[in-house]
Amino acid sequence: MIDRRKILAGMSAAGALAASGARLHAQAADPDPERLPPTREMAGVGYRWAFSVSVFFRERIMIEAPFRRAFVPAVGGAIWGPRLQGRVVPYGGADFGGGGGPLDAHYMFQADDGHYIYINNRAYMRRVGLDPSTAADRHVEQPGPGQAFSQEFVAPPDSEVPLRMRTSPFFDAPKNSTHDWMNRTLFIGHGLRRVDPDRTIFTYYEIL
Amino acid sequence: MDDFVIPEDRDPSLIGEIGFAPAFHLTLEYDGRHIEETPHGDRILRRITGGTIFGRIEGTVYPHGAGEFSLRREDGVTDINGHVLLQDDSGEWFYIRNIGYSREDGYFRVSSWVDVDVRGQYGWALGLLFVGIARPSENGGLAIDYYEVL
Repeated sequence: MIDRRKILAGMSAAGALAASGARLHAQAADPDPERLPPTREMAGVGYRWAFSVSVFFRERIMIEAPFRRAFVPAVGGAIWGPRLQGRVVPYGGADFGGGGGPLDAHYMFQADDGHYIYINNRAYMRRVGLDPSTAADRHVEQPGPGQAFSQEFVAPPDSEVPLRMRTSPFFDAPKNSTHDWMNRTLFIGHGLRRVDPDRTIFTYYEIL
Repeated sequence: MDDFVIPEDRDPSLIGEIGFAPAFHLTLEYDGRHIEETPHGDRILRRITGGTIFGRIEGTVYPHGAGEFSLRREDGVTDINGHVLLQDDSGEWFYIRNIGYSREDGYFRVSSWVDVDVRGQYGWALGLLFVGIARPSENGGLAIDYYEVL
């Protein structure tokens, strides 16, 4: 096992260096390998922690269309870690997932060097212990005459409803920047639900 | 919370762990390729005309209608966009979607999901992501090793 605390301690210093260096060397190549976390491997797949993102939520709307449509805007957030630092652009997009398929979020990052990065994050949130095939049978209650209905929903924390939330994000990053590597790297993300305030902490790994 | 920074979120214990487990192997056969220059880049059109899957799912590629519609970008990287329909020995259908990158340095990685029938035997694959490591195979085909993302 790697010692994450040690890596993280080194990371904050490396992050600051990378952020200041980015302005001077906009076309810099890959970062110094010594500043990256160690490569890990399982079953022959190499991977490495790239960065983490906390995404904060407020509105949670479910449109009970025949194939369902969620609307959960990203109200803001922070990005930290070895290969990217910045923020989630407030109200710069949302999860628009539907159909019982993968959630489908489109929103914006802004890196510390000012560049914007588009993220399309597809993800599955599979409840631990739940048979996903039961989700194919969905009953939608019709309101009585004159009755209002609510389209709001809540998303509990992992401590209440354990989720296996894994994501497959794709990024569009400016090509003439230090972020160009994100345009040609496959990522896998891990999602962790938190409340008070409502947010998800995503951990992104590059697949090597 | 105005700046959306919660220092505790950065605690190293919140770096969520992932892992990988071997799932299945897919081979794909094609009958050639058509490359067309489009406003997006070079669209590489390939019919998938055969193949097999073995491992935790076993079956064959349905050879009529599966395809790959990838995009070679101006930076030499190809955005993979593949859609495969398969059938197991008992006749049950399922679908694999591949998206990812193929680079000139040989890096060829896709992320995938599998749509299966809730009435069948592959319910375990629902709601999971898979990572595929691909390499060219004989006669212009492709071999992809898939790993379930844990």
